[in-house]
Amino acid sequence: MQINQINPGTAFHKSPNRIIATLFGAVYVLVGLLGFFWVNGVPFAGPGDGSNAILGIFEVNPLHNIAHLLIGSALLIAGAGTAASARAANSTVGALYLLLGIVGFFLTAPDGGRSPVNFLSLNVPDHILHLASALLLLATGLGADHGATRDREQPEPEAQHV
Amino acid sequence: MRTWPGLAAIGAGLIHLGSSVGAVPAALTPLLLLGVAEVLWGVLALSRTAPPAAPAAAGGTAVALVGTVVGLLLPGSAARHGFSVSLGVPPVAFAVGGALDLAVGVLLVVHLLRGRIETRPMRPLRFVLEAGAAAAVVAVLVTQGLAATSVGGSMPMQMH
Repeated sequence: MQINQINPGTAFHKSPNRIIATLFGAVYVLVGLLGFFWVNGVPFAGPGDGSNAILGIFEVNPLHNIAHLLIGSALLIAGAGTAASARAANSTVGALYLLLGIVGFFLTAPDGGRSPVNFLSLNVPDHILHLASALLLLATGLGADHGATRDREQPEPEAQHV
Repeated sequence: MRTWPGLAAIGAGLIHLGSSVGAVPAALTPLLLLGVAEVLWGVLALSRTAPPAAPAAAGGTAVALVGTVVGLLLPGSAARHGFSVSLGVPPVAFAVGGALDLAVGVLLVVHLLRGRIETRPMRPLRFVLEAGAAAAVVAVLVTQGLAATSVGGSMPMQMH
C-alpha cells in the first residue's frame, strides 16, 4: 500500500462525528464570512452598538469572525479526514465552546455588554449558540464512534519483503 | 434518549456553578460541589453507553431536588414569619437547575426500571438529530438560567 494513499477511515454517512464536524464546520465558515458584512465601523476587538448583529440576531466583530473562520476550517478539515480526527476535533472545540459559553457571561455582564471587556462583542443569542454548539459537539465527540481510534483507522502497513 | 441525561446534567451543573458566584457563603459551597459533580457526571454519562453509577446518581439528583425546593421556598416562608432570608440565587436559576435535575432523575429512574443496556449501535443520523435536539433545549434553558444570575448581570433577554 502506498504511504500517501488516502485513508478512507469510517464512511462519512456512518460516522456521526464526521457528519457533525462537516456540518458545523461549513456553518461556522459561512457565518464567519457573512459576519464581515455586519462589522462596518465596529472595533476589531470590542463591542458594537447593536447594529453589528448578523440577521439582527448574533452580534459579531472582526475578531469574532476570524475565530469563526478558524474553528469552522478546523472542523471541516477534521470532518474530511477520519472519524477519529473528527471525534478529537469535536471534543476539543466542544470543550472550548463550553468554556466560552461560561466566560462569555462574565464578559457581557459589565455595562450590559457595551464595556470594552466584551472583546468578542457577544450577546445573549451568541451565548445560546455557543452553549448549544458546545453541548452537541461534546455529546457527539464523547458519545459516538467509540470504536474509531487512530490506530484502528490507519491501514496496516504491508510486511517488508527482505 | 442516550445523550439527554448527560447533557441535562452538564446544563444543571453550569447553572449551579454560575449561581454559586453571587450566593451567600452558606449556599456557595453546596452549589459549587453540586455543579462540579453534575458536570463531571454528565461528561462520564456522554462517554459511556449507560449512565454511570445510576442508582447513586438518582439518589444524588433527589437530594439536589430537595435542596432546590428548599432554596425556592425558604425566602418566602421566612418572610411570612417576619424574617429576611436571601440565598443570593435568583428563583429562575433555581427553577431551571431543578427542572434539569428532575429530567436527569426521571431518565435515570426509567433506565433503572428497564434494567437493560442498549448495546445496539444507534444509527448515525438518529444520533445526530437526537443530540441536536437535546443540545438546543438544554442550551436555551441554561442561557435563561445563567442570564438571571449575577454572572449574567441579570441581563434582559433581548436579541441585541
